Amino acid sequence: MRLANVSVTYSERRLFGKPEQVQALRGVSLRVARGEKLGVIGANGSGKSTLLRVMTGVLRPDAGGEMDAQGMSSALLSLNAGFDGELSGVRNIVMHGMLMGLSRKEAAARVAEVTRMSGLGEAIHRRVSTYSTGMRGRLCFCTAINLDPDVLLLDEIFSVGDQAFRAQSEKMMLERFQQDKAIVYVSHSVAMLRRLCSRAIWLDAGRIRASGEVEPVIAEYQCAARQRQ
Amino acid sequence: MVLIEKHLWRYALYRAYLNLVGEASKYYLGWLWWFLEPIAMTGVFFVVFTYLRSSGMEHFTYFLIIGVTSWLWFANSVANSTAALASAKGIISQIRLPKLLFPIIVVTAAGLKQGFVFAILLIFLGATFGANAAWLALPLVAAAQLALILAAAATVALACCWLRDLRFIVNSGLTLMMFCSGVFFDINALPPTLEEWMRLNPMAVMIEQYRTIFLHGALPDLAWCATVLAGCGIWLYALRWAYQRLDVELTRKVIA
Repeated sequence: MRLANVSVTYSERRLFGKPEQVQALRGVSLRVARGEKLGVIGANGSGKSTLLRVMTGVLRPDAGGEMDAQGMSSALLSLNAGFDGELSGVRNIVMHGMLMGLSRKEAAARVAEVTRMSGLGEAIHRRVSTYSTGMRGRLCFCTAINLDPDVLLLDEIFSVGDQAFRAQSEKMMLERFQQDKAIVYVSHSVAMLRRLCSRAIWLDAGRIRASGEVEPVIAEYQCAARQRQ
Repeated sequence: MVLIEKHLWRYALYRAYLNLVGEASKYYLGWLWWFLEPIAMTGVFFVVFTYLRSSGMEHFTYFLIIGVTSWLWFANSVANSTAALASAKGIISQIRLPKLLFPIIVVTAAGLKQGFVFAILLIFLGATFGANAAWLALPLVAAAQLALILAAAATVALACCWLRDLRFIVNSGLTLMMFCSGVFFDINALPPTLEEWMRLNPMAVMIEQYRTIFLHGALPDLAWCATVLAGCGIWLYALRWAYQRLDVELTRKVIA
């Protein structure tokens, strides 16, 4: 997957007052190879979620930028994974599968596996709005990982959930995403980036400020964070 | 591929079914509201026009309920489509999807609901007036209305996503349109000049078609129905092009 000079601007025009423009990404160039585990770190509002949306094809870059998936399928996982809180976990799993092109029968056949993986048990039949944030995280993670994409894009997914789930999901991810599968992992957790990623980038105000080995990138990010404090 | 891909039509149908289940589970009376809403509206018009201002029309209750049922199908679909894209922000932020899918889901849910309401209405009308050969033309009229609703809903969803302020105009426009649709009066009884103006409103003519079938046992205006179907079909393909063309901006407007 290749991104070249990608910028993304959100704008809102109003009759009264100045038009509001937010440039979420500014000239980002990046390459994610098969099998790579890329970590993305940055403060709130630095453009991390927008970067993942560009990578999954939801957002297209502004003129002059280019995103080439190079035939790799991707799945974006965030805590607001588009699940409907009014519906049960089962129905959300089926709906998600159908959106990815599965028939209702094929999507329904995945429910048992997702339930087992997530450890949600009987709660899978309850409305998602009654789930704790951790339970929601489990459902999101297990639904997406079960669809087996080439690139898994994770947006702060492990910031919730208990220690046991984090350990279990980390294990599942590393088992499934070996060899030719890639992971792009957005997180504030430096410890998780160190454990999961082989390379990292630091995003700041929509620009890549550092890129390369995980440790030097984290060191630069932490140094800048300390200076801001 | 008609408007969207086949697997998305399957999703739209399932999603519409779930929307109805979710909607019914929110209320104590559940799905009974699908029938109670048109009955309540008919009751209001009945009281106003029978007791306060005598209508003097035979079978006025059925005249009203046919108009109200047909009108509510149109109005609820269009009103709900104003937020079709904004309310799907979660899924639009996650997966790249054609935005036309979302007004289609709204219209499919309203269409399924209407199917049940229509089935009950047919039983009552059949018991009162008896079924006749004109009923065979019902699918054509219903298809013309469905096409009209889909075209209107897709237009409104696009416009309201582009400029959110339009929601207020749509709601006022629907109220105005209801008063010009002959829901509670016969447009044929109006002075000719006014009637001509009223006939520019497709819902006024649509309601008239249903009444022609049910109350007069006569065939509807088949040419008009076919024209509406063809016109809305062309408009929908133009809209599909517009949705594709504006996809980048629509996504940003929903996510921002």
